[in-house]
Amino acid sequence: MKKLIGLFFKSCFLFVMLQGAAFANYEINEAWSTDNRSQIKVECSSYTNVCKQLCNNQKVCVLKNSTCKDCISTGVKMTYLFSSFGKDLNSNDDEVSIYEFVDFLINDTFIAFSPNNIYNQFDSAQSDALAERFKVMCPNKFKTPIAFFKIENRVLDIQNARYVTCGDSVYRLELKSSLLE
Amino acid sequence: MKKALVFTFLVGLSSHTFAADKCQVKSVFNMVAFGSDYVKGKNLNANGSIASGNNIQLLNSEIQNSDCRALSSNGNVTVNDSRINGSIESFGKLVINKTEVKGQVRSPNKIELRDSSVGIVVSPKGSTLVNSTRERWWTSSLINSIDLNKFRNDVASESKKFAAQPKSENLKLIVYKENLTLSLKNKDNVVSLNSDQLAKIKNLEIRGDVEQTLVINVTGETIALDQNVIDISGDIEPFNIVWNFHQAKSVVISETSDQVLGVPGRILAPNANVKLENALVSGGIYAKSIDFNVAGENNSSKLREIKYLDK
Repeated sequence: MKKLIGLFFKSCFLFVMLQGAAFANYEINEAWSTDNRSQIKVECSSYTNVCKQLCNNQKVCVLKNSTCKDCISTGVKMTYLFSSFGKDLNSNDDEVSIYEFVDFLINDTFIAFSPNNIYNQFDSAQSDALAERFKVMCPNKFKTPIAFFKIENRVLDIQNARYVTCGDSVYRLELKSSLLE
Repeated sequence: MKKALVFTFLVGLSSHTFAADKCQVKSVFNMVAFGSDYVKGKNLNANGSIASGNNIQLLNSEIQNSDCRALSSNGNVTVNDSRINGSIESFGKLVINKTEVKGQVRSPNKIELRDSSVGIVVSPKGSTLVNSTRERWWTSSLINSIDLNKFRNDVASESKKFAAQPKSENLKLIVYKENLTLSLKNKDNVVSLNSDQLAKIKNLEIRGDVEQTLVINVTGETIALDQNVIDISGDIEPFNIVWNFHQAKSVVISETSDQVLGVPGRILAPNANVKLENALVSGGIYAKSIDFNVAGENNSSKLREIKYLDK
């Protein structure tokens, strides 16, 4: 009986700890519209003004995730892109101001990739392995990072890698290979 | 029957003890505002206990501190056109005009009530009632006082102690245009800014977790926080953030009231007059003197005692 009571209190303690650990003031995730278009959803707690600055809403902003012309393919560029996450494409531990990232979201056209992105034609069968490589980009070990690229005229240039979001931290994303230079 | 009486006595005793514990002011930092010289407020909305080593003047204000001490003063207290949810104690002259006090009013001197309603009057000299109501009058001279002189010294020594701390080596400062992110790396973190740097910051983000503390030492005699947006991210609690204006003689915090937390944290300014103009502070202010909303007829300032965020 004593063991059961101890176990109960331990579970309560763990529950409280996990509840605390789950708190973030803003979280950035990929979401899908009713017509299956990829969107970037920024959700804010009541203790931050980030959403207000981004879209003048206190709680949530839904942003268009752009498309690119030649992205649904198994060509060299997309194959290289998806094999580079967590390897040639990495964060370099360079934490970025949330205000810089908000400026980017407001002023630039971007495309964002998560591990289960529809553009991943290359190794969709190995999505777990890709998810693991995505995690490598987050120094804070966040589970569902999103990589952001600036695009111009709907053309994706891998060298235009900009940021990776890791929960409520944002890191600069860099291409470390000179293969495509 | 005997058992029932004992039970009733114990329940009564425990609730009394609980109430006393709840209302105990063990430290100046149990209060939401302390001005060693004076506290003046107009259009102030405060949640927590306010105290002064000398006088308190309030006009058109609302103070919420349930059944505990709302206002404590070593000097005179004058309250006009206000609502006080809590008790008031004054060692000087206590004048209450067009005000509802849900609690006790206590003073060793005669208390003046005009067009007001109060709970219990505690004074050996009674009260002058003009068009006013009181529920009861106790002639006790017992004032449940707190050591406001000690609080003045506590604020000064705490500020001095923080100012002497060296800045943290690995605290990360991320600057982007007029925006600054402080990313905390240690358990206890100290950063130093000067008043000019602080004035130029448009957005400040403090990034830390629940166990981390931050002291922001700001040098300079004149401090202005005007429309600055201050965000906190991660689990850091407002009560663990200290703004130490140790050299300041004047601190003005203005136009922050439409923000979520306004200025989160405890403001220490032992030698300064702190003015809030249409501003919100979520934490506390401990200063030489405090003026709430001295400018602007239609403005109001808010002071919230937030120790732990509601997550």
